[in-house]
Amino acid sequence: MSGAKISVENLSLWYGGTQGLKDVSVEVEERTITAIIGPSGCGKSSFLRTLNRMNDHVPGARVSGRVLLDGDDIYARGQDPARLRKRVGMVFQRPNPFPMTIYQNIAYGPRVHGQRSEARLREIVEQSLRRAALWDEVRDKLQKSAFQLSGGQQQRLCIARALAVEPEVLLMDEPASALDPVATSKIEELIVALKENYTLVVVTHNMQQAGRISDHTAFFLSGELIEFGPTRDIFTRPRDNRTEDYVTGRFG
Amino acid sequence: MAYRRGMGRYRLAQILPPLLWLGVLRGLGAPTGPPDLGALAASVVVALAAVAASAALGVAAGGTLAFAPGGWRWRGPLSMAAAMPSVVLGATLLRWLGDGLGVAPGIGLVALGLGLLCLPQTVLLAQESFTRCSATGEAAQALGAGPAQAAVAVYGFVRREITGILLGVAGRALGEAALVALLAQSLLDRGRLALQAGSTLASALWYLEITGRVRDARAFWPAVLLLLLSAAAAGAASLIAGERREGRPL
Repeated sequence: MSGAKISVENLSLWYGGTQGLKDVSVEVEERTITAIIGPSGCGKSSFLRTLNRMNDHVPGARVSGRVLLDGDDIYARGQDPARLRKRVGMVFQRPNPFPMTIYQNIAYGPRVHGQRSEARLREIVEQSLRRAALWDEVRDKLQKSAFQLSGGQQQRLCIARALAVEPEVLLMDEPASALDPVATSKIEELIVALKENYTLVVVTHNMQQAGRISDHTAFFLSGELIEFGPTRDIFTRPRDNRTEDYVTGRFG
Repeated sequence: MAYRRGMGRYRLAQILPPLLWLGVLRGLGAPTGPPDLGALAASVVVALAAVAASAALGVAAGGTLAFAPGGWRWRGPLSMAAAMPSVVLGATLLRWLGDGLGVAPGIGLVALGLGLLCLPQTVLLAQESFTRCSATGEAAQALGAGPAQAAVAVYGFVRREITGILLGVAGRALGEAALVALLAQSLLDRGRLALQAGSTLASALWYLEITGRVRDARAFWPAVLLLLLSAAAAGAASLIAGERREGRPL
């Protein structure tokens, strides 16, 4: 398929002796939302973390197969994980702001990548917070600790922090699972709005959420990709019995 | 956890035993005589020794639990231990330390006992802190930061950790009259406690209490000094944390 932002080809992942992912192949199109669903421990978070090489830090983890970002294998020799992660940002399950001010949280990424101009940093901070739909709520307290924000605001701060380094792809690992319904709906609206500029891959254990926000859905079970396709098809006419059992709530 | 902020005020109110307030209130009318600086020094030494003992053991244990697989399972039992009234723990610990292990009575025993008493809380704080550290380090790396740059992001938690330990241990150790009272009692029973030498502010207060004199003016200085010391510990912790405003715990 041409136009794929990310192509995963025959990807397998091992943690020591146990296999976390088994021969997974997926294509993620540019400026779409791909949801990853499946029961706990099915490998959905592991899969997400292979896309920006966060598994590099897990002792004993190794991968085979290829992950192509715009056609370049991110696991090829000589690829710099730091540069990759600037292009492929990540938002975690629990909001994890740095123990700094709101401003410093956002400016951290650009500073790491060499941005020294305070004037430019101020622009980036405002722009990132606006994109994360947080600016109006925090514009008067940029110099306050990030921990003073509510859980939902902290998560949007983390999204803004990821956007500040101008990534092309944003990976989200159950970004709303630690939040209440109101905060969750704000995050969902934000994810849909971000599709305009970014390619998003979102792990969720919430099937309604996958149905509401995503264009494509991948269903994982025991490290295997069981089914991948347009979200509507996965939920209304799945090809595989196991997918049907899962999306109709018969297990999981 | 709420220890990150606002803990100063909350803790200060929580750690001060009622005995102390009683001493201050009763003594306000007619403070007499100079403050007992020996007891003040003893209180500070005991608190510092308790902090050292508790911090060393607590940070090591908390760090291990934070990274060990299944370490979170200890949170329940630890929370229970931390919530247990110190008298219960103190009585058990003192018998064990004093009689079982033959630790010589005196300030050293008090400090060790207090350090152990504060240990569950310290372990919990350290575990929380380390878990957050690793989540923060991961977030930094996900932004493309190298290890040294990630360390900068994590640094803030080190300050928080010190704060937590200071508040949790020093504050409690200073004001922990119950344990000191128990110790004093058990030593007194065996005729081994020289009340003038080696007594801390808390034990001085306790002594006045059991002899029915806490309401007389002699309780004033120990009570005031203990109050000031506790406030100083809480203040130092706020300064290190660099924040005084109440925040929302996650």
